[in-house]
Amino acid sequence: MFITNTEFIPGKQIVTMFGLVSGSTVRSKHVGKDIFAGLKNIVGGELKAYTELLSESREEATARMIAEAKDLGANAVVNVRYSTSSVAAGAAELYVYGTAVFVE
Amino acid sequence: MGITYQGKIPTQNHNVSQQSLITKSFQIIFSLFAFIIFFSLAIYFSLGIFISYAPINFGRTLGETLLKTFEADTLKTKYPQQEQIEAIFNKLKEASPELESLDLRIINNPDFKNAFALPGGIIIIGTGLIKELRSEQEIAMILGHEIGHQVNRDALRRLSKGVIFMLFYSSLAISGGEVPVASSLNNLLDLSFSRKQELNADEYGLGLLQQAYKSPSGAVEAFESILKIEQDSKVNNYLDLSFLKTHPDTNYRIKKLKEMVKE
Amino acid sequence: MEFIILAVLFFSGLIFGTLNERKHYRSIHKREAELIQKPIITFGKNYNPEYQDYHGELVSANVVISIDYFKKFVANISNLIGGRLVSYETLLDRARREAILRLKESCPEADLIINTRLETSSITQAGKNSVSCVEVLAFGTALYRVN
Repeated sequence: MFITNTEFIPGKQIVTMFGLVSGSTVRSKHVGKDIFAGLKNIVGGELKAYTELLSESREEATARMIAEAKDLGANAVVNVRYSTSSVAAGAAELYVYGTAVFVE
Repeated sequence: MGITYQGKIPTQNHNVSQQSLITKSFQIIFSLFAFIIFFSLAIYFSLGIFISYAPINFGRTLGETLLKTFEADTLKTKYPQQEQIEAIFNKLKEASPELESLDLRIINNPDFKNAFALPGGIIIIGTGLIKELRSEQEIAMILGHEIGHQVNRDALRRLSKGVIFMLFYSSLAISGGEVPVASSLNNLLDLSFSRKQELNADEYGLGLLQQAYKSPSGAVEAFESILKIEQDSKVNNYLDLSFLKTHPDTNYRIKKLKEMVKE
Repeated sequence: MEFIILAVLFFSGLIFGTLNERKHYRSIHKREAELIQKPIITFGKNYNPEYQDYHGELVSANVVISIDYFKKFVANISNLIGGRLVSYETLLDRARREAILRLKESCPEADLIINTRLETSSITQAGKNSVSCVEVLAFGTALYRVN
């Protein structure tokens, strides 16, 4: 599976396209980690729990997008974009979308 | 550069978990409840241990605040028998140096046929109740009973129970959004003493009475008076809500007291 | 009394929210099948070199969808435990698919839509007591064949 955020894949030729595919997820950490992050916020520095949460969510969203692309019969996703939203309080909402294509 | 387009619909929705929301929600709610209950119990027991070692007037400010919610005005007016009742109270207090910091407040309201133990060593008694009691010993027994609650820190225990309930409710509120939280103060006051606490307080009161008056007479009679109030005013809401409901069956208490007196 | 109101909100959220969602998904599935032949892609220049044959135009579509009381309740609780917030998944999924469908519907004559972007925002602040709703804006360039 090729994933790129360019419009092409170097050395490959796009043969077929399947349209937009996307993956999204909403995840949160348990309340203990929220409280700890709140305390850490006072002194600053990296909030490891949230870094982990966001990377986890991003991975899951990407995995979902790949699953959808595979489902359509694609072997690559090009021009991938990540975006976030904030509907739920204290949760990471990741959205990733791209164009599913078949390359040779 | 001929890219062909092939329109396809995915066989399943990959962006939504396949698990049913309802089963998931039940799972979540149950695990959360279990956690909250465990947490509340843990706090309750640790508070219980702490309270056993707390000084008798611990939480006095709180008691004063609660006192204000009861008839703030009637407290100021002087009751004719006030000195007499205070004398009884002081006589009871001589039994132990620990009781020195206790405080008695009389509520001058003929409808207030009740006595309470508030946190921080404050005891309140209504003139309505005093009028129904026929002798000094009876009043002493009721006061002794309330002193017993103070010595056992029952008011604080009740309060800690209330706080736990509040915590329980508010943790539900945090999690669930708008779970109704009953008005806190009433909730704290309505929580009753347990049957065991009452009987322990009875026993302590009887001990005080015996120490101060050298005789257990008046103990059983006091509760017979209360039984009479109970029977007289089944319709009186004031009474129904507080004294009667929070105390064990008076007949049972009289029976127990008689046994204690014999010993 | 408060409890009764809560129960009513809870169950009406559960029943009507579920019905609503099913109805919406049915409509989405139907329209997706109808509009499947209109490509919607996220890249631009690579697709077709003969751009002189086309006339391009910015098209956009948006949708605001709200969550029901029951799902919000479940989401608030699962927020404490962590992990996936399943109740928001269908909300966002529906909103995005609806926005894409509306984007396609907004240009019935267009051959395809290129360089599509999706933006998600919430109108109200994320919080316990506010209305939880999501706005999805989809925009792209619709290509119409000129000659």
